[in-house]
Amino acid sequence: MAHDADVLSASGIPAAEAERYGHNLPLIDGNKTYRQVTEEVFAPTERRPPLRWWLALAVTLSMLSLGAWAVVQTLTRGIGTWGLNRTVGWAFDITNFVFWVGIGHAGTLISAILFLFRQRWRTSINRAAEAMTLFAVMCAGTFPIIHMGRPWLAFWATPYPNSRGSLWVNFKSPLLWDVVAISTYFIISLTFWYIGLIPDLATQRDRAKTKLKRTILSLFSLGWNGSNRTWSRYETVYMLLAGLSTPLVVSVHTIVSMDFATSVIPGWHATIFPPYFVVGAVFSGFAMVLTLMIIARSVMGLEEYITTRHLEAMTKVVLATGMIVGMAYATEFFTAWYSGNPYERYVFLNRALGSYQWAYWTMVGCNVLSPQFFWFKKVRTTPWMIFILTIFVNIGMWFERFVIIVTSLHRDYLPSSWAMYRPTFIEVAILIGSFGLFFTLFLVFTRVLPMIAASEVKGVLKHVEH
Amino acid sequence: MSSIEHLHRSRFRASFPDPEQLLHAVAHLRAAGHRVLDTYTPFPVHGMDEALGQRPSRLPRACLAFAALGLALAAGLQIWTSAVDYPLIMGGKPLLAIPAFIPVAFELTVLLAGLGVVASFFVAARMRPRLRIPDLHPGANDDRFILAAELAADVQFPAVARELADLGALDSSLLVEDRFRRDGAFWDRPAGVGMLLLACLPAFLLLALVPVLNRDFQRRNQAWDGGMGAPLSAQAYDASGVLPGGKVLQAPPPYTLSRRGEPPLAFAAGKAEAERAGRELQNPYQPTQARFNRGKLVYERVCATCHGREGDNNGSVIVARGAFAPTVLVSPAVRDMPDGRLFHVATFGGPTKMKGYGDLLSREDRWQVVLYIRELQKAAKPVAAPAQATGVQP
Amino acid sequence: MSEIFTVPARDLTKSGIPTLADIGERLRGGAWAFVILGALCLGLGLVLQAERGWGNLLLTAFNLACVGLGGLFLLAIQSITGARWSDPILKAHRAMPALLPVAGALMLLLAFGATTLYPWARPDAASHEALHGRLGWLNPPFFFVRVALIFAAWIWVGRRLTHQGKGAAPFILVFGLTFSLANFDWLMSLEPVWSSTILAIYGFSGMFLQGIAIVTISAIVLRRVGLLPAVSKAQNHDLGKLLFAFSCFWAYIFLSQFLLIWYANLPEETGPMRLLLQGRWMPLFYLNLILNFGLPFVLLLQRRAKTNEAVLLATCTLLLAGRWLDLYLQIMPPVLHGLGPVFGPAELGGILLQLGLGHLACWPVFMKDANPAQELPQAG
Repeated sequence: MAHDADVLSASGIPAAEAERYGHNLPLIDGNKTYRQVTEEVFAPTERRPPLRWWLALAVTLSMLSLGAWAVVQTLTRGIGTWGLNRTVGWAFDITNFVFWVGIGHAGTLISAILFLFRQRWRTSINRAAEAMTLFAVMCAGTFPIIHMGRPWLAFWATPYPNSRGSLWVNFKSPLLWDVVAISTYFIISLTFWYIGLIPDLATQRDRAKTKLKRTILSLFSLGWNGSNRTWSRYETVYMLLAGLSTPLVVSVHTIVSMDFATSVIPGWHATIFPPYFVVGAVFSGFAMVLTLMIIARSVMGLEEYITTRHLEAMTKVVLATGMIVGMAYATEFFTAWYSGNPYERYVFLNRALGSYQWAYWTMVGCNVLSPQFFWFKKVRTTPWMIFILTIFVNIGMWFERFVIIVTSLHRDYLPSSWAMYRPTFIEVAILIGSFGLFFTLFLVFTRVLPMIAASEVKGVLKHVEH
Repeated sequence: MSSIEHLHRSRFRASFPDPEQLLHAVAHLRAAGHRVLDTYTPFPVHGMDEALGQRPSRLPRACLAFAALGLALAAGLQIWTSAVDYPLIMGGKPLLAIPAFIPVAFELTVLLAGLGVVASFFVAARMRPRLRIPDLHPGANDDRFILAAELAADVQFPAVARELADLGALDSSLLVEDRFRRDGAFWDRPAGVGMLLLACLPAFLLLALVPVLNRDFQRRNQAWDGGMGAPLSAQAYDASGVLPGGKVLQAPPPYTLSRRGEPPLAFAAGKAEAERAGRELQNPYQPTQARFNRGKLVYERVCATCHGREGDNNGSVIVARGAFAPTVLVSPAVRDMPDGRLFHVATFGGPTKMKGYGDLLSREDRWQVVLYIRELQKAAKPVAAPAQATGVQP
Repeated sequence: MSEIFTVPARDLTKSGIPTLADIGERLRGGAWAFVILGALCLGLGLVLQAERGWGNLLLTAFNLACVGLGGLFLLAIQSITGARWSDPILKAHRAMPALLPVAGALMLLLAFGATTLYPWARPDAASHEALHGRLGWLNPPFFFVRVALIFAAWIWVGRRLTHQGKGAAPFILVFGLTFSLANFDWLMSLEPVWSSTILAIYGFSGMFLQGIAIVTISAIVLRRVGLLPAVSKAQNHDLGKLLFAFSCFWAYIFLSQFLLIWYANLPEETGPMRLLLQGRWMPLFYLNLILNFGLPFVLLLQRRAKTNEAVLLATCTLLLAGRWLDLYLQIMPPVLHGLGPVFGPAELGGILLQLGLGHLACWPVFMKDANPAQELPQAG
């Protein structure tokens, strides 16, 4: 391809080295020097934000305040402001919870798992992806709290000695496993993200112009001076954290899936849920990373760092996980028939043909059909096409959780309890608010901290993509 | 070589534009007998550990140790709370539900391993929030690859500087001693007796606090349960800030049956009391048409389902299908019962299954039902051997 | 670029050391002995107790098919991800699919034992309430037609992958659908009331782990005899990491299935589990966990261990034994109708058949493979 040849010649990679590999393209375009990387990555944090940033912030803050208002209504007036009833006791609340936790997983996967597989292209996106993980987990964590009847007593979910006996929490309950898992995931992700940030905070500190900035950054960079003694221990810690985060991310969404799979109702109790949910989380997470990165790279001028090759690699992950998710749908449907269990068979027929079939077919269309476009290289390397398709994927994955939760609840074993569910405006507003929180945090992040892991990118600057 | 000579060796640094040149320079300097102290780079340079002769870190062992600690804590916490301290059977699961304990155990293992290894890293690398950064060389976090070394004995710096320049160094310079001062100097100062007293101070303070800490542990803590553990019951004639009328005692709700100022009946439930009521109570109402109509209305609404419209058990209760048998009201036994006894049964209930209607029907209505029953008894044909109440006699 | 090994590869061109042809002859003789002995034992087992014989034949056929599929799947993954690290051992990967026709023949032999093995193949199947509505799918003729079609698909798509190195993505698609169907049809239908949506993934995890174990053993042993000279410590390290990771993955899938079935405690699902936790089955249940996860985890945790050939060989042997035990615990409890586990001629016969046929089918393909370290063309 003509473009590739230009990039190749501009990068100065010796032809002999390039011949050895099938691909002969550098990871970062533009033949940059280390100084250029520093200047370009830290520029957004050192300049005042442009007008369009403020406009975007205005939009996201409005969404956030709408959600905040709705949450206040919920807390003061009660869960009656939602559309839940005895039969459908979980709907938007837990759908949103699982959706946001799932989105968070892509960040850890890019940071940790791709690191363990020595995929150097992750260095352009891992900082932003991990930040996205943290913000997504924050959004997710609000839902279990506000969906309690008395959220001010949420601390009762932690095992502390008390004067009620001491009455301990139920360690056998998946809902408690969730509390432990989400807390652990947030803490370890935050720690991993922070460790990765330290060298870049040191660079920012060295470039800081004001005393206040220098003081704050000095405190947070923990005296980092680039010494090799520290770097070698740092690399060990980074690898250990990556090795810990990998099973952690799998376990967190496994535990979330067990909220459903440990029950007895048909459609929820399926042994395939743990790996199915994990793969679905990676699917939706990568789609969200792509959506964010496509906007960020063009708005912030980082196309040479987050190249179309990075986008292409991520779309391949989206395609692979999308196929696995589709395979899981087929397996569930087939096994429901194969098992001969009339309840299982009914649940799946009801999903496809019952009152919520519009949600089901949206889910199948978005999750199974949209990724198929990524078979074509043209689609994989065109940002605006990727952007549209990944938005569909996220819509589809939101609906997947909605379908699983609501269709299985609204028609289970006892026909006299069958009921319909309709969301209220408050619930929709809370969902919009969660997006507002997520995007607000991300916008602030892009102007305060370097969005690209500058030290890691410098480390791979002279490498050729394998 | 004595340690004093060691201290007087000059230290220098050199700055390179890329990592390969730095590696070559380090190897060259070590071969020439200089002691390379450390390198300062914007990213880790592969091969530098070996070039500097650094040993591999023991952090993985720390990670494993913390992981084992996390696993032990998690297992202990779950087993103790679920099976020892306050065992509760939940969901039919055994108290020691090992499969159910695995998820939390795994999470806490990972949590402690991660936090522990990071804390160990900070301690081992002496990283803490600090305002003055030790050994900070310009460009080390940007685009320069810097080494710091000690000159070998009997070598002058200018020669070394020329060699380094040939190897690609952008600049090299001698370091002034105090800029390379190790940060531990403050803590290495000798301390006197005053420090010993200062060190013992926290222990003495704690000992002094013992009487304050030695509280009555039987006393209950404040629990944030809104006071549900120790509710205050209101007395009937107290004032109340939240109830309407400002009083605890409220007016009865609408349609409550009024006693109309009459004193309560001086009878209890039971057969002896029923017989006593038969002896002592008289029907205060005369059998008029109006009272007859009222009695009929009440009877047909309340009593006829069980006792039948004619009082002969031809109601909804079908004894032949196995239901209980209500007392036949037109039987000789009931004809012989005095009015007061019938009134007592209507108020407090029958000997076996019938519940009392004392709080559903007014006294007037109950006496009027008795009048109606008498009329039914007069109108009924004598019944030979009807199904009797088959309950246990009280 | 190879690091110095403690057991150096032998240079077979020196005189006095057996040639490749000699090694091949000796091994082939031994393999034939295994096959004949194995067939005799299995036959004996069939005569003594028909269920055990047929059950072990199913185990043998399925496991051989999994070995073949393991090689194909590894090839496909290397091609799709563009991984280079396994180039020196691709020959081993390409030899394994030779087992697929053998396994297919053995599976088709099961037609004679279908009534003993499968409840739906028996004449009284229609009276079984759980089988209502499924007998159109689960009847012996249609079943064995499916068996033949699935094996045909594997062999045909696999041939394109091994000979030309193309078609990795279509293979994975076909594999996903057919392997799931194979697990459901051949293994899950042994117990008509029981169903588990994760069974295919569980089978895949065991298959993949076994595939890596066989490749590791091949890489080490064949390097030592000089047939795969390009293998270095880096390959061993990567294989060790894969073994560790997929042993953990197997344990994760096992726990997913077990924990969920244990937790919900539904009678239609707990039958097989309850049987495995009592009596003489219980030690085998725990042994399964130890062989497939417990010991490999502990042995391979340290970085040093992943490059130590002795540790790798020991771990892979444990994993192969564990794989056999895993399949035994899936197949035999429903087939034996609740009787206890026994190790006798049928089981021994199955194991000998697997070892013998494994060598006989794969060795000629391996030796004829002309390109020692052919790189796969990259998938698009």
